[in-house]
Order: sequence, then C-alpha cells, then structure tokens
Amino acid sequence: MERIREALERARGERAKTGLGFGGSKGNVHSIMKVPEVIERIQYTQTKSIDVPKKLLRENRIVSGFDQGSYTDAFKLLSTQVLQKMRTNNWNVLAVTSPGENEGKSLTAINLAISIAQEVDQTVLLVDADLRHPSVDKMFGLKPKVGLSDYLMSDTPLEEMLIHPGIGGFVILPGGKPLQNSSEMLRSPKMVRLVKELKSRYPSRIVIFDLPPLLSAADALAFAPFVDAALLVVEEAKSKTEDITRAASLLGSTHLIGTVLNKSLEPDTIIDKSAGILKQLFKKKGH
Amino acid sequence: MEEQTKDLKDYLVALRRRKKQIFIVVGVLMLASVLLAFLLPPVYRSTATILIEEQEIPPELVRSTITSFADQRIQVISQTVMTRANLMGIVDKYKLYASKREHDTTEEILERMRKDIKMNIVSADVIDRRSGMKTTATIAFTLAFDGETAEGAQKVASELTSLYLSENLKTRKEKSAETSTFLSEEVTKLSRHISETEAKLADFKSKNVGRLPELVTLNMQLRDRTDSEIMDVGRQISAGEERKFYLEGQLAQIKPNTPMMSTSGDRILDQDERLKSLQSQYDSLSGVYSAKHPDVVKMRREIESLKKATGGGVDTQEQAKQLTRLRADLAMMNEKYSEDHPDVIKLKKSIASLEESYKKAMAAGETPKFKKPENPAYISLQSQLESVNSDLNSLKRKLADLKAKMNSYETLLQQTPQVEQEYLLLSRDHENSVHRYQELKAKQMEAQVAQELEKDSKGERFSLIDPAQLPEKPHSPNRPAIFLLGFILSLGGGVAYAGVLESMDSSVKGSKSLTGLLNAPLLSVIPYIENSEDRRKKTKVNSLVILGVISSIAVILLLVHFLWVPLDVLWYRILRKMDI
Repeated sequence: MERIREALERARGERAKTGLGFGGSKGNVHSIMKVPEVIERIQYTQTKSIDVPKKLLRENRIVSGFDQGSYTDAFKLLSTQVLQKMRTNNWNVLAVTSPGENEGKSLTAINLAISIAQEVDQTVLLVDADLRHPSVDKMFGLKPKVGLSDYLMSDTPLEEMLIHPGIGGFVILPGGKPLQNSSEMLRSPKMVRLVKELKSRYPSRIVIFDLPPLLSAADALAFAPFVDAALLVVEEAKSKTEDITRAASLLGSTHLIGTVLNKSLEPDTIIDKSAGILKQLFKKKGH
Repeated sequence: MEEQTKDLKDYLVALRRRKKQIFIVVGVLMLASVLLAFLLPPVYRSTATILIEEQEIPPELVRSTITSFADQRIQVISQTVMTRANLMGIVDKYKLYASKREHDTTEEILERMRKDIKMNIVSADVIDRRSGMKTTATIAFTLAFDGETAEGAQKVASELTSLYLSENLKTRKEKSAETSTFLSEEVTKLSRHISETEAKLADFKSKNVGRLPELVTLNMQLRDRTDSEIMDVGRQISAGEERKFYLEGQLAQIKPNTPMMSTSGDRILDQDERLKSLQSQYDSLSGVYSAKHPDVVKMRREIESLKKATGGGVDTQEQAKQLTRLRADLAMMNEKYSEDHPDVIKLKKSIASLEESYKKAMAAGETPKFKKPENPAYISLQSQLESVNSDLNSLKRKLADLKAKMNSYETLLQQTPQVEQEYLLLSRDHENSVHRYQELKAKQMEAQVAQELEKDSKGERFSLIDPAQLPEKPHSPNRPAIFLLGFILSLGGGVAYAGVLESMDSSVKGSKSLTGLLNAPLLSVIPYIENSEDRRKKTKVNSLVILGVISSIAVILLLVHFLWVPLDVLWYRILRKMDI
C-alpha cells in the first residue's frame, strides 16, 4: 500500500513536470490541453456552485478530497486503478452498485468521484440513479428542487439540475423525487439518450452512476447494459459470498471492473494508534 | 511467514468484529460463575473410621462359622442399614433436608440421603498365609456423611456408625446361632433316623434268624461238623453191625442150655434134643411100620409129650434140614436102585410124611417155642448182642437227627443270598447314618464353640478407631476453584461463541476471501471511518456500560445487605471462605 502511495506521488510529480498523462502517454495530450477550459465552463457558467462546509462532508465521511490518511489513500488507490482501466478500454461510464442495501455504495461512489476529480485533467459527473432512495444530495447537505426523476418525468433541462459542490471538476446530478417505477424509468429511451449525451458531451469526463442494489431491485439490472463498466461494493462481514457471486452473475455482459471491500477492519486499514503499532509489527515480521 | 501473520491478523480482526458479543457472553458467564461460587450451599463432611479386627483366638483353635469376606459383609450390612425405615428415622430425628421435604417425595429424599452417605473400604495388599498368593484384604472402612451443617453431619455420621457396629454384632450373633441351631436340628433329625433304622434292622434280624449273611461261616462250620459227625456215626453203625453179626454167629454156635451130664458121664439129652432124635426115629419108624404099630404109637405119644414140654411144635427148621437130607439120600438111592426097591419106597414114604408134617407146621406157622437159656456163655453173648443192638438203634436215631440238622443248615445257607441284599441295604443305611451323625455331632460342637465366641465378641469385630468429628470447614464446594474455573470457562465461552458466530457467518471476511471469489480484481480495501456521531455513540455506550455495571453491583450489594446478610458480616465470611 505504501509503495503504491509512493508510486502515486511519484507519478503526480512527474506529471506536473512533464505535463504528460499517466505513464507519459502522448495520446491524451489533446484532452489534457482542453481540461482547464471545460472546468472553467462548468464552474462558472451553467452549473450552480454551492460551497459545502468541510465539517459536514467529514461528518458524512466524504473525506477523500481533503483529509490525509489511509481512508483517502484507499480511495486514491481505487480511483487510480479505475481511471487506468477506463482509459485503457476507452470507457467513460461507470456504474457503482452492491449486492445488498446499506453497503456503502453511494458513499463509495461519491468518494471515488471526488478522488477522480482531484486529478488535474479530469472532470467527474456523479449521477444519482438510485431513484427509489436518492441519497447523494443528502450526503452533501443539499436540498435540490429538481433531479434525474424530474428530467425523466417532465423534461427539466439538464443544466438546471447539475450542482457543483466546490470540489475540483466534480459535478452532481441529484436523484430528485423518489420514483416507484424506477426500473422502467431507467430503461426508458429518454434515459438512454441522456446516457449517450453525457457520455459524448465532454471527452475527458467520467460519468459515475450510483445504482440501487443489484439484489433488492431490478433497477441496476435494467440499467447495466447502458454503462461501460460496473464496480461492485462489498461490505466486510455483511455481504454474503453467495450474494456476491449472484450479483456478479446478474451483471452478465456488463464488464465488472472490480470489487471494493468496504468498512474493512483489516489491520492494514485501521487508523487506531494501537492498531498502527500492531500494523508496524506485522509489517516488520512480514518482510 | 506472510500467510501466518495474515492468519493471526484475521483472528484479531474477527475478535475486534465480535468484541461486543464476546463481552456480553463473558460478562454473563462470569457473573453466573461468581454467583455459583458464592451461593452454592456449603457441605460439611464428617467421617468415622472403623477398623476390622481379626478374631482374638487363633482361627486354628476356634473357627468362626462366619466365613464371608469382610468387604462383602460390609456391603450386606450397608444394605440392611440403608433401609427405608432406618434412613427415614434418621431424617426425622435430625430434621435433615428440611427444605426438600416440603416438595420432594420420600423416594427422592432417600435417594439424596444414600448419595450423601459415603462408604469407603480401605484395603491393604497382603500375602495369604495359606496359599502364599498376593491378595487384597479389607482392613478398615470409613463412613462419611455430607450434611448441610457441621453438627448435623457429625451427628448423622456417628448415628450411622453405631448402626453399622450394632448391625454387625447382631448379624454375627444371629448367623452363628443360626448355624449351631441348624446343626442341632440336623443332629436330632439324624438320630431319629438312626433309631428308626436300628429298629428296622432288629426287626429284620429277628425275622431272618440264622439266615443272616454274617452267620454264613458259622452255618457252614456247623454243617461241616454235622457232616463229619454223620460220617462218624455211620462208621460206628457199620462197626456195630459187624460186631452184631459176629455175636450172632457166636450165639448160633452155642446152645442156650448147657448139656446135662449123667453120673456116668453120658450126656443127658435135653428135651429138645430128645424131641429131635425121637422125631427122626419116628420118621424112620413110620417108614418101616404102620402108624398103628405100638412102637410108633409109643413114640408118637412121647413126641407129643415132649412137644408139650418144650412148648413148641415141630422144629420147622429141623424138619426142612431133614427133608433136604432125605431128598439127597433118595437121589443117591435112585442111582443105585430101581424105583421098586424097598429102601427107595421106604425113603419115599418118609419124605412124603416129612413134607406133610413140614407143610402142616408151616401152615400152622408155629414158632419155635422160646426157652429160657441157661448157658452162661450164651447169656453173655446174648446180652452183648442186645447191647450192640441197642447201641445200633441209638446210633441210627442220632444219624437221623444229624441228617435233619444237616438239611436245616443247607436250607439256611441257600436262603442267605436272598436275605443278604435287603440286609446289606439296611445295615449300610444304618452305618452311613451313624457316620454322618458322628460328623455332624463334631460340627455341632464346633459351631457351639463359635457361637460362644461371637457371644463374647471374641471373633472378628468392628472397632471404631476414629469417631465422627465435628467438621471445622465445609468439605465442598471449593469456591476458589469454581471461581477460577468459571473465569477461564467464561473467557473460553466468549471466544467460542465468537468462533461459532464467525463460522456460521458466510459473509466475506477480509480481502483474502473476496480476492478469489470473482473474476474481477479487488481494487481497494476501504476502512470504516468514524465520524463524530460514531464517537459520541461509542462514548455513550461505554459510559452506559460502566454506569450499568456500577449500579448493578450496588443493587446486588444492597439486596445482599438488606435481604440476606449485612455486608460487613459477609466480608468476614468471604474472607473465611476464601481461606481454604
């Protein structure tokens, strides 16, 4: 883990020096050049910008943007790998889901999005597609009037709904009012059109969909064909192995980019001082 | 190495995850064990030791009739002591199990009582004097009672001890008395049987006198003797006969009358001889002359008078002789002369007259007239002959007697085998009975001595060497041990509970289990991040737990103080209890 962090730091430093993308590839030079203007545009022209207090974010465990620590490191690791894979396969739409409910899928989606948005040349749009229980806005302490459901039901313009919480190139599309027939809505042509539009509007933008749990509703299943890849969030000591395998098989043809183990108590991830000492001990023993 | 540390890490993670459940289980179990350690009622044990002493008088001299092994006897006594009546008597007397008696059945209380009575047999390895083999001998036994109070335990233990001792004495006395009574009865029975068989035997003997097999030799001897006697007598008889013949011969030669001599020295014929000569003269004369011839008549008269004198008619014998002589003469003359010769005719006439007279005499059956003999030689011979005859007669009678006797012995000897069987049966029965009677009598004597031995308690006996003491401390429960064990068990139970929960939970644990599960890689492991609410909750729970523990201890102490026993008293009691 530490080595990875070191590698990340090194990569970041290199990029700052050379102005090249990850791994120094020249294929992305064009998009990198465009980034600043895109951000400028979203921030200041079309999107509502709201400053969310850091204290609230911290209370809601959205810390990957500013706090240092193993938690942030874990998300950095995640975002780097996700970004690499997306770029390699030329994907830009990612669905975040989990086998069951309350396994931290929305929080993971937010933190991942923020972590990706920390990248200099990257903008991220987080779509709260959990239309039954939209929760992304609540995490940011926002009370938006309109959201995705309004767009699907009453053609509210996209520009009115987007919110910029004041963190890098990070934009939220809130869920709006809860819907009952969410899976049908997610499968509707309008939604398909929206996905296509979001996908193609900005080349260096990653769109992350926060989907409902795979096993509790058909929403995720219905929406899966429209995304490039999916990320499965698993809660340690809660998600059953059989549920995980079932969820993975339900995703079917949609590419599973990987899994995330959430709320882990593994010594590597413990922040406690005492546990830290233990960790050190284990490390020495291990190597 | 990597794997090992990871494993240990996994366990630590699991413990962290389950710490709440572990704490609850450990707390509950520990509380239970503490309560158990302090609330278990104390049990006081009072023990008495009873020594089994060997009999004082050497067993070679007096053997006890009680031969069962000591431990076996102790078990038997236990059974008799632990009867329902005995135990219930003790329970009532010392008011045992007061709380149990309210709701438990008598059977349950008896069961409990039997459990509380501990009998332990003390054995020692010894070498058997007779067989030289190693055996274990019971030398003592201990008797203990577990009671709720020290005094109760002691009292019940001593009561039980005295019961055992008295029961042992009683059974020993009874047993030895039983043995001797039994033997006496047997002896009486047997003596009755013997007198019966004796009577039978006597009866049999009187019925079969002389036929008994034991008399066979005597009978045979008697028979042999009689046999020889018979032979002897036979010999005597034949000798007598010989002598008789001899004497008769002698007698025939001697005339009964002595010939009288005339003065001239001529022999005077006695009447018989004169009769004989006259008769022969008469016969020859009658041949010559007719019957009317005066000579013939004269001669006839003379013969007749002589016949009257001698008392007898014609001597037939004499006549027969003369007849034979005459016939021989006739035969001789027939050769010389013709039939017409006068001599021949004369002879024929005399033969004819003789025959006639012989026939007459034979027809008349005349016997020669007995004449008193006077010849002394004749008389002596005659008397000798008579004595021989009488001897012979007596001998013959004796022989007949002996033969009869012989016959009787023979029959007796023949009958003996038939009698023998029955006789042997009877006599064997009698002999056996007598033999057994003697044996039994000896045994009875021994048994009586043994009974005396038991009466005076000189036999093997139980002696109380260590009476039941008042226990100073409770025997059980071992409170520190229960406490310690409870502590260890509750820790183990908590961990085990966590282990069971973990093993039953199929959720993913740690990155390792997730890595191999799907084709997709595990991208990141995100720890749980606490926000202020979590921390607040944690401190709240912690303070609640601490408050709860303190308040529950306080409540327990208060309850103990007011409901059970004041705390200061309890403190000293606990100190005392811990000091085991």
